[in-house]
Amino acid sequence: MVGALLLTLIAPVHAEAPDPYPSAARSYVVVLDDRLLWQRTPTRRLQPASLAKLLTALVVLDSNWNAERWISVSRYAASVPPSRLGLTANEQITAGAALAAMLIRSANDACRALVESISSDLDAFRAKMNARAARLGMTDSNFVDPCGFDAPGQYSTAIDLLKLARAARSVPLIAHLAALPEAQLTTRAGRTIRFTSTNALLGRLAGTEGLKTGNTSQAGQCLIAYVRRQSHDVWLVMLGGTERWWLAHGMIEDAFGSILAN
Amino acid sequence: MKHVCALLLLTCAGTSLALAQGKIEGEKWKVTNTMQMAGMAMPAQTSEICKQPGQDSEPPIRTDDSCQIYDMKRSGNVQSFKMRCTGEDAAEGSAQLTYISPDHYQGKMEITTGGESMVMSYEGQKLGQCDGTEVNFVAKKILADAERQQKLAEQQMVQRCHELAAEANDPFFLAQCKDPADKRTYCDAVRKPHNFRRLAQEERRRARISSAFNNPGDRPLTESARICGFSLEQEREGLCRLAEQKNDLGFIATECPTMAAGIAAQQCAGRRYTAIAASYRNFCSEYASNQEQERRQQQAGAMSATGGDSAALDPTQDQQQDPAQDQPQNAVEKTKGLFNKGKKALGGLFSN
Repeated sequence: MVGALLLTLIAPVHAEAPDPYPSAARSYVVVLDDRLLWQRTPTRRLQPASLAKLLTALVVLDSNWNAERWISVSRYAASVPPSRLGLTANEQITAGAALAAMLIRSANDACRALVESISSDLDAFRAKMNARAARLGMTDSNFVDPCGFDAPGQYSTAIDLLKLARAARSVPLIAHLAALPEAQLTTRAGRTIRFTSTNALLGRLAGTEGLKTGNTSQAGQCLIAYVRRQSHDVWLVMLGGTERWWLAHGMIEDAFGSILAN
Repeated sequence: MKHVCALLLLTCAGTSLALAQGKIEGEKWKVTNTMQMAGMAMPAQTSEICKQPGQDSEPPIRTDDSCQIYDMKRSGNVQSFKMRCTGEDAAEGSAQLTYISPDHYQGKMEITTGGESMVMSYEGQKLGQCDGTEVNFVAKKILADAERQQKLAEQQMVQRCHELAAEANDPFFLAQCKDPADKRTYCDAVRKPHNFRRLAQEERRRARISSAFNNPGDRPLTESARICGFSLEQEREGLCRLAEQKNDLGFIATECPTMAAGIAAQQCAGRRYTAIAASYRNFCSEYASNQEQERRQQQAGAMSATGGDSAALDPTQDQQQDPAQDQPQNAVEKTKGLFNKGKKALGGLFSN
């Protein structure tokens, strides 16, 4: 299974593809129907921002996953910078709700609570992330912060993140959550929190089924988008984007347009 | 490929014909047949056949490959036989030919096919001798097959030309098409807004990724205009006017820069992607993409409100550029709004 996945992913890495959007992002890849269509410095090492949460999700799901388990929000988790749900210290939410909030809203408080529930030792979790990344063939990545905050020594590439994205989307729960435009959770104390997806393409660009956004000062605007129309699909991985939504929308439309033209 | 096959068959046929120079003579007959059916008479058809030596008992008439003659009888100057055809044109027939002289016959065949009956009248006149060897017959059959295949290939080519002309994907196929109607069809099709726009977009796409823009193959619209003899700019102007009347925002976004700039200033400028009216979202995205391309062409290294500057837009918080329209505006967003206004003033139209 892993072998087959690697085979499908290795082919585009070595392919040459043009760069029709050179100022759209510091790095990007557009893959149409498993064919690398366009790229810009796809092996450039950059901060991945919250795209790292996809890897965190995979690690969490590998760790005796129980969606119904109640997890407590630590004082530290409640204090992390946005994006956040606004959880307060000692509040409890289910692991499933935390995973959903982490993937849909990119909520850092939920992310941190979830990570702490798996391992109180951040180094240990970090090691699990990098081991998982290595298994996915992400040879040009190093993850330091599970929630994607900028960190020295942390980097990934558009090509590696495409591998991560494909692996994440192959997990039905992640694929389902990443495609939701909004959701709500209820804390153990009965507080209901509604949250919307950070992925602005959902519901606005036809066929969008995910997957993850990110944005930090060092990473800039980041996006992994997956769009499916009839029998065709497009992946866009963008790191350090400029007008992210406008250009992602235009680039994806352009990619589908290139099918009609040929 | 079909052309190649046809050519090969013709070569084979030529070889067979060459082998047939041994000249075993057969009888050359001119046969005229007329069909009558349901009160209608079809025009007479005349053909020449070469009756092979050794086929004395067989009637000198032309039959299809799928037909078999059987139960032949001869009584005096009257020859009778039956015919059975199989396949798509299955039929049963019964014929009687009367030889007025050894070189001249007349007769009729009653044929039943598909529940209907018809009568075929025959008149045969022996003309003389012909090359009647078996190899000659085989060669003629191969030749006939090759001609049939070639004709079929030509018909398919003609049909494909019609289809390609209507699809209007590029004009380069026209060189292979003989029917002048195909060019007219193509030139009409290429002036339709959606085809014009598609070719224009493809031309731009290729220009972006190709280093050799002088290649005509990379300029399907420009070449179409040249082949069809219209002015690209005049045509674009006319189509833009039409697009304005029909509010075809997709066409305007990519093909009518002046018009698009006006609409973009009203509907896109300074607005968030998530705050845009749904009817203008594609327009604004396509316009933004075009702006991005123009920016690339005009000032690769010049100052713009893009690139690394975007990071400066963002504080260290992950949500700030995400769809924050659901959130109350905070100080950072207000600052960003001011930045966007500045960005707009500098010519950058869009806010994330």
